[in-house]
Amino acid sequence: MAVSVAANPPKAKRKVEVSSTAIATSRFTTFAYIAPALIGMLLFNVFPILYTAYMSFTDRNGPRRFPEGKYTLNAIGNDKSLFDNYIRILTEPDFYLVVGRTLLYTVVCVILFFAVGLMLALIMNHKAIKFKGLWRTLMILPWAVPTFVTALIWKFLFHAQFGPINQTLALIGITGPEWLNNGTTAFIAIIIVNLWMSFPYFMLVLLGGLQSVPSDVYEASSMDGAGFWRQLFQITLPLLRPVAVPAVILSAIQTFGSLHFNTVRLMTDGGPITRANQPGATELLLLWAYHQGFNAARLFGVVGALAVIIFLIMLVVTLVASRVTNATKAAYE
Amino acid sequence: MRTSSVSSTTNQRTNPVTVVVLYAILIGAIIFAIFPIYFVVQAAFRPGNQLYSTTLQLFPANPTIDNFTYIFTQTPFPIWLWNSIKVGILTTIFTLVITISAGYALSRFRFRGRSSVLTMMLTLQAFPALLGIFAIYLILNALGLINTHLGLVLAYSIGGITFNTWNLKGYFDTIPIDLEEAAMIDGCTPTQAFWRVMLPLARPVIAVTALFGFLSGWGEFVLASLILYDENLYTAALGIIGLQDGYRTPWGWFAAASLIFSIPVVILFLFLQRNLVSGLSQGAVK
Repeated sequence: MAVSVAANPPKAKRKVEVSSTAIATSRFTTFAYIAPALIGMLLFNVFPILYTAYMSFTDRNGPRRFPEGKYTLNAIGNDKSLFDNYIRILTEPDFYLVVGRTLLYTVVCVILFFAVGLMLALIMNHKAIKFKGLWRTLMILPWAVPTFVTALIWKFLFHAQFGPINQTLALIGITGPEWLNNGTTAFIAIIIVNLWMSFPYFMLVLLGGLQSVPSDVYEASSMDGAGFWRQLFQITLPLLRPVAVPAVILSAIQTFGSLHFNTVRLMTDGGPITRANQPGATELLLLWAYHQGFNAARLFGVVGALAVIIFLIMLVVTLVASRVTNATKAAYE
Repeated sequence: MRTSSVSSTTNQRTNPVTVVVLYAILIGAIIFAIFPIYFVVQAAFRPGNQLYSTTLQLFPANPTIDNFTYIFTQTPFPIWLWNSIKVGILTTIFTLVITISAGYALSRFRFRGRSSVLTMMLTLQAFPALLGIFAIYLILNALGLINTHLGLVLAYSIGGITFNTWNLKGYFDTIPIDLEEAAMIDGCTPTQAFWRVMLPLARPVIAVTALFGFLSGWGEFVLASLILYDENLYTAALGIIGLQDGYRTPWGWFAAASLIFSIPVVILFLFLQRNLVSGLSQGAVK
């Protein structure tokens, strides 16, 4: 293991150069520290990307599971365009429908995470609230529940006859909807589940930010007669920016790109289908892409192209976001 | 918890109506947070014939531990649970070794390609790993690791490398380098300074990294289902999902298994919750 290698650096290199930002060390030591991560990333990150990109330029769109050697590069082994899979996706109306829905889902989710997280953080930071440690612990619990357990619990909670949500509604005389069998309510349901999983993180991060705001700032503005909302918008939110912006961006990227997969797959598997030959109401981007390969059609060339397209979208968003927020700038110094 | 920031600021007492409203919202949020968890707990203690009721029942009429007995004696659940613990602990160790050493090197050493490594990590994270799952299968197949736990451990450990390395590096950056320099002037090698000075100071972020390492494989089932085909090698997540098949199989078994499965994670979270705040925000803020 790397540490045992690194534990015996060459004895000749014990001369210490004092500098204020870095530790002088031999190339060998540096390499020993960083090699495990690099090798791991080459095998499990870089290779999958290259392989998937290669697949995206082939005609591997067939029913067999691992048809190695039974497919060829487009434009070289056949008379298709090299970008056949990309053209197929970009001319497919379903693709835009799914991207639009995933964007809607992301925007609604992140606004809710932030609003609920901020509201609870403000309450938890209020002087009138007692037993803060207990409340915080209880509210963190959803974060600790494994995702697939979350998905399967909520699937039961939303069940039209046996689920306690509709049973509670029945107590006050309301007949609840068939939550997961109706397009709109299923979409609302998966947002509620994601809110349940994510609000503890936002509450913790924002609470941490609030606790570092010096109290005399509020005192001064109270004396000036500023009310709650004015303090919120003129003092609290600007001071929370450094913690809130990275959290919002990270969460938006995850929600758009991956976070919906496990819960939605187990709750609705993308359904319900509201119109024939169209993606289901909750079939968000990653799940839809996954289904292209892992259903009867087994369109792995298309999956490869989708992976590359999603990769490029996420990459642009990540780089723009890190430029805008300067969140990563200090890391390079 | 530091509550001093807002308390003691004003002499006037808060309006009682405000206090009631604040508590009402807080209690609403807490019910939202814990009701689903409560529901699975009570379902686990319900006799099989009471699971599907069409009216609201919050307490089981005749609580029983039949569901627990069943999963522990009639299903391979104990083996699955052991497999998950094994995979979780190994993944934690791999994650810690890989990301702490990389994070430390990126924070403290200056070498050619350092900023490229940082950018590469950020870039690779944007790829939807799930869609490259076949390539991971091919790599593990080439290494002879299909249908083994080691294969899963490797894939899980690398999966979290980017986030954890960046997070660790950010935290290491906040620790003054003078401390290690002092140690090295006293005759420590850089590696000794790392072990004796840095690691003890970075305990919160290491705890968080360990937690995330453990969790990265704990609930995962897509990759596991592709790599493991021997039922005795299944992780608990994979096995439990198999138990829960639509609404036909008894939900009580699933509830009991999920409860047992979630307990270690909940304990870890409660145990580490203080570290969670400082280990996650320190690197980002400063």
